[in-house]
Amino acid sequence: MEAMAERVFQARDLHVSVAGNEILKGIDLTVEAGSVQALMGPNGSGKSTLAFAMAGHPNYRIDAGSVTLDGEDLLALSPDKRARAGLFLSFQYPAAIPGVSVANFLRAARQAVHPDDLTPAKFRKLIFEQLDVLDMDVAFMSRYVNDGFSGGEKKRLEMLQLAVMAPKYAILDETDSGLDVDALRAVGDSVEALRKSDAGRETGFLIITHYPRILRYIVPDRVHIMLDGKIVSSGGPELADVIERDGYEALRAEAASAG
Amino acid sequence: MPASALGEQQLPETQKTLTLREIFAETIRSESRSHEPGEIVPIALRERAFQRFEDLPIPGGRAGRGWKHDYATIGRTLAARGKGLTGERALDQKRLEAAVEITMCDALVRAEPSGRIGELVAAGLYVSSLRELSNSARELFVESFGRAVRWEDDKFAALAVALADSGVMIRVPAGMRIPEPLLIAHGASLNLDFPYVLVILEDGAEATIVEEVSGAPAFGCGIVEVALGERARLDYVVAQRRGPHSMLFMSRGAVCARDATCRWSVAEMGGGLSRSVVTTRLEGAGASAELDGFFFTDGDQHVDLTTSVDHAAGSTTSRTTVKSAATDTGQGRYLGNIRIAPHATGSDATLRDDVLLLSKGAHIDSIPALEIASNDVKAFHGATIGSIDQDELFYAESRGIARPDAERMIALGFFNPVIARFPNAAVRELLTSALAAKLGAAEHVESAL
Repeated sequence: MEAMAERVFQARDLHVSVAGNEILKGIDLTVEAGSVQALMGPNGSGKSTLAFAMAGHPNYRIDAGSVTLDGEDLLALSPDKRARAGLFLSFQYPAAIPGVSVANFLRAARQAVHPDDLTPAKFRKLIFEQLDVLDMDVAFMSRYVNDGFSGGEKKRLEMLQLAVMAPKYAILDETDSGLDVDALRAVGDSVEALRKSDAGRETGFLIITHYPRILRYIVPDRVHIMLDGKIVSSGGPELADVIERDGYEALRAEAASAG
Repeated sequence: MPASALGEQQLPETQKTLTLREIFAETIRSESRSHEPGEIVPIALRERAFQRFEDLPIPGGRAGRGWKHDYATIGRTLAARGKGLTGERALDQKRLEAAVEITMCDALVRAEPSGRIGELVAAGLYVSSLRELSNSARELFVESFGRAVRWEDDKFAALAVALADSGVMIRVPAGMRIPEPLLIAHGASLNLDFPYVLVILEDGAEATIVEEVSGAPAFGCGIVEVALGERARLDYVVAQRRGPHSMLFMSRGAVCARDATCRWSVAEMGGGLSRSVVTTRLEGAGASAELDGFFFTDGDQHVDLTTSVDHAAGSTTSRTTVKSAATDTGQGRYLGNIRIAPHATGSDATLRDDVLLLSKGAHIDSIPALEIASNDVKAFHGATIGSIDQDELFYAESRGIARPDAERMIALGFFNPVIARFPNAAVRELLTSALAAKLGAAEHVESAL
């Protein structure tokens, strides 16, 4: 068999600081192609820092460690090149870009990540299918990106972008926060639709969440618990149930006594 | 003679360079040879106007308020400019599906009628060169002249009166609604351009006028006056894409009777120096004004835009939205004036201006002035100034869009909400692609300033 890079998205001993404060204190995390990993933890544990650091936000300084995508060193790449390498981040608080229509933004994103691979007709078909999955009106396409959007609309647009970019690996940062049940189901359906499609069958997911409820819609292969910038526990989907029952404090006490 | 800085200025790149005083003398000589009713402005009035031009100070506000050059300095460096737009015409009757195309070029006026125009003229639409007015039209012109643009108060409006060499009058009769735009194009192939336009919409009339300012004359100075009757609605579009060596001074004004609506859409794209003044006086109760404007300067370009809305009657409304951006060492100034008279109760005015700076060397002053003399009114002013937002930029980059492309996309988006309200699709397309080309050619489109 021909030697090839392992198909994983991986952080190794990742240390990250923001404005001089160390937030991540050595993260090891592996997302295999086609797998779903859940990263849970209380507010302030460093989950979003991990997401931003992996995507290349300039305010997050990498002090040590590595992030690779199918063997490629992501930390050497600018944010746009990371996206072109196959990484997608669904933002917890996506920025509004007034004056840029959703349609133009999606076209630019698709063109950047998968240049010239879809005819305009096929691109339109992709969009219409996804609008349907997300229960969105086509009028959405002519609105300005996230400008005046409700929380639910913002998350739906993130999911629309997920489908359009068809990444190798997707980080969903608190995509469930602030969503009602319908919006949550739409997000779940959207991820499910991508995973069933040819383009997304091999997509690996890192689902960052505070609450376990999104994991009823997107069932993880593994669950990782982050506390104070470290992953303190990893296990099967049942670990999410433990968190729901006992909360993070029990784990914190356990981690303290073990440490 | 007072040392008017601009008056002493020699114009660049003319085969024969002339001062404005010499140009004026030549105007008087040639106008003296023609006889009434062929004149636009009587010679005595031209002389008074030129005197007024020389007496009035250069408009520019107080020194040191960010206005780095006065007009004289700009004139001297004009010959050194040389990038950006060509100033070539882009709009024509076909592209706009216009009812009529009026070209004002090199002191001549030519009208290209469409198939539709006969019908409209038969129904009372009147379009004529000011040199060929009928007697009744001349009376109307004399009555209307100087009402919407008070040239005696403005140096360059006075100059435009003194030098006016081509003129057009459009009158839309009561109740006529013209869905197709009327196109006015003024661009000189020679170095001088002095247009005068009068637009009259009688009671209940509706029209759209698109004024394309193209060509690359060294010096242009003109006036557009609009008078709207009761319930009349006018959409007036200015697409200024003059060549990069041009100096341009335009004064436009409208007076609005009861329940009339004047909507201005103003795009200042070209020119080395463009001073553009747009004044709307709401004289009748219930009248309203809307203005959507933008400018974008690069290289050594300088745009000076002034908008004024005068609420002179009660229950009048206005909304003014201006977006301005500059890159390289481009400069600009926006003066936004709102006046609400003491008796104009129940009036409602909104003024919003946003400034986007795309390079360290760029500079824009934005100076709002709200003069509210009545208590029972609503007045809102909002302004932003800044560079490209870092969060927006990172968001776009995270979608695979390379930084320079993301910066240009966000900068183009900055103008879009204003362009989206321009009334004609062909104009919107033209301006969007012109902006994209200009952003593409700019040396700097930077987010980290």
